[in-house]
Amino acid sequence: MSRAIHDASKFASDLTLDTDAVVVGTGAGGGTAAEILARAGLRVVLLEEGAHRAAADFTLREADAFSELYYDGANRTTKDGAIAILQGRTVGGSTTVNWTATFRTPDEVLHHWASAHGVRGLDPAELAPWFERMERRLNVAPWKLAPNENNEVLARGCAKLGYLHEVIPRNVDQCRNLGACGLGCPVNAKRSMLVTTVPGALDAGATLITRCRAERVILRRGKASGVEAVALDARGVYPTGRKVTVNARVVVAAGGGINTPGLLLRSNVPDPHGRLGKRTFIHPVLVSVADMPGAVDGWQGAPQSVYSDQFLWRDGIAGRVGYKVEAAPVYPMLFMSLAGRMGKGHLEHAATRYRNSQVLVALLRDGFHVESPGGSVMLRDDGSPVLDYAMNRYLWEGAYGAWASMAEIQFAAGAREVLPLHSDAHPYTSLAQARSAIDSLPSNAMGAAIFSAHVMGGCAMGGEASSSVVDSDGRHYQVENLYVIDGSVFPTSLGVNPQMSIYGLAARNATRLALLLGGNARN
Amino acid sequence: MAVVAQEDFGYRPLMHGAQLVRREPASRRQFLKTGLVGSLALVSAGVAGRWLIRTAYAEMSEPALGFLRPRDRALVRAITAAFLDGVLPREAALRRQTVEQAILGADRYFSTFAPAVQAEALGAFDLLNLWLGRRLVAGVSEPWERAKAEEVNRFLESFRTSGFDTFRQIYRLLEGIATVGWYGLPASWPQLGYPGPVQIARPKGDAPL
Repeated sequence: MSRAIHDASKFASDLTLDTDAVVVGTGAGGGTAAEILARAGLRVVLLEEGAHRAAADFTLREADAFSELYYDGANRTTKDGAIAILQGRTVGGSTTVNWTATFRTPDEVLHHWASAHGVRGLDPAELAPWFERMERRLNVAPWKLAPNENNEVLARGCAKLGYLHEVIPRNVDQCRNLGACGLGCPVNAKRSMLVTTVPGALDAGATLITRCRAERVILRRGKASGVEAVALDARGVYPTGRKVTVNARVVVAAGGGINTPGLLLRSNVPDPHGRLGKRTFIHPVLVSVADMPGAVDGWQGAPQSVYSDQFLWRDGIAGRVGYKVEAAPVYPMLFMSLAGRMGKGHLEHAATRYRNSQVLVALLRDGFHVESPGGSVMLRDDGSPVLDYAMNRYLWEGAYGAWASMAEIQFAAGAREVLPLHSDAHPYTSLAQARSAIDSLPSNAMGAAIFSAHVMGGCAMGGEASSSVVDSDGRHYQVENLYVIDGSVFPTSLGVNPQMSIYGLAARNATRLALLLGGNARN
Repeated sequence: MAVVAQEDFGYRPLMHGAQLVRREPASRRQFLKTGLVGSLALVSAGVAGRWLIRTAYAEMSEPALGFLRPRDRALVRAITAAFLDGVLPREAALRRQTVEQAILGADRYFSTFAPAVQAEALGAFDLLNLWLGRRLVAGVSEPWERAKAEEVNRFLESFRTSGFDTFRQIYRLLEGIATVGWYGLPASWPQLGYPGPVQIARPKGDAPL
């Protein structure tokens, strides 16, 4: 059976469809939900703002991949321009371009959600079968090959210091260890939504419309009854003027953080307690670059295969902000544009050290402390969503600690120089020098290079309508027939790369939704 | 582009403008407050932002460019050539050609950004294309076509470490155009020792299940 994939940029007229469920987004949440709903015998329409690009299209050149597969060139910034967010915009969403690290939601986090946010039914035991199911579906297993040198530095440094470090589980099958995960897997080894649940949904009869941006949820007498969307041009930038209307029994918002709150804000969905878009978390990422004595060639090999949780939970869940330490691939354009931020002189220096460059990242787990309330999604004049996220003293303390820990690990692994990425920093030749310099770096978000690859929250789930947007099943508190099934429902960040947390929760909540809609239970 | 945060005003002079500030503090501060900040605030929101988005639409018809306008070329050329001076090919004709290719690459990259983000970036170019913006804010004495490399580099370095977040943001934009343009080109890779994307047989047709 041929799959129903339609490119809205080519539509010559408006289109109206009727269906059981319209799913906005094809990433970790939307892909998983769409397959489950379609396999339950329900009619499903998937709307995707990005284009449909597959293995044969992936050139593995950053100039192509960042432009075609991500929001704003893999540089979707926060409102003040300070923090750069890597977020996928293509069929499969961020799962098409992520680095394949796959962790279950930590037990500490699930317990915290229950006790601090009234989340119900999501304790580790109840979620375990959903994680197992998705781990099987996506072939998740700890990486069996030796780590590449970029990750080996992390393992070696941690081993020297007696710090925790483990092998990362990855969602790959017959992985060729190329290292191109962030540019689209050219051999379909990564078990992203692009090659698993989205085709699964299509083969069960779902329809996918690409280059189609959901503008608003249609509300009739307080109930969601469909989605109004616009066709985008071939580049995905400007509307062509063609409209797509999908009338549906239920609307499943699955655009992820930033986009799902944005869609609901544009829709003027009732928000009596002012919770919509609030508590958006990003795992703010700090970067440390080491100059190693030998070649690292950090673009090749599985980009993330080793992690350290030495600093993640050290003060308990509600203490000082903890951070997870991982490696990040050294792609030329991304890496050299960061070098350029350090100034023209450093650009020339970095070019000569490119092959020896090793990159560590530290992800701050935000949202577990009263001083970490997260950011807010808001709408620009043209209706596009933007995240306002401020670094504060609590988070800066974590940033300084993270730079120091990464430098310590890199020097322990034999680094000649370590550069914390901050415009007032320089490459340092000893840990003592690095530590004292790090302590005096100004806490200025435009000075530090801060990233995020994980957007969570904004439609927080919780036990009370007064403090959350949806309940623990993803059902909107104010609007009937409106569900949110993506990472925007997390009431805090996770302390781990988020994909499996989204898959597990999406599988659970989509299965419940399918039963509510009268779907069969052959899942 | 964000409006400059209030607390950034008034106590940290621009590095390159230190002498200027001493000579005529009142007028400079006044200019920063009403002129520059006012224009950026307008660009980031409201009428001017919408006008810029429409402008971007109208000029989409320019064949070679999707983001930059013809009037931005000289500025972007000057920035790219000066910033990448130490890493571009030495030979003059090849260097000029490489700069043009880098600009096309950067243009293509930025042309996929959200319209509001493109409009903000164009607002920064508008500021620097003004005589006042170029002379007083950037400190570049000649028009961008004839700008001296050392003046351009001094301007970029002062923006990079400026006490004004808006200037740091403009630096990121300009530095990003240069580095994204150049390091997106295969010609830049041998110097890094990067062999280019791996060549590998691709699965044909539709994604499997």
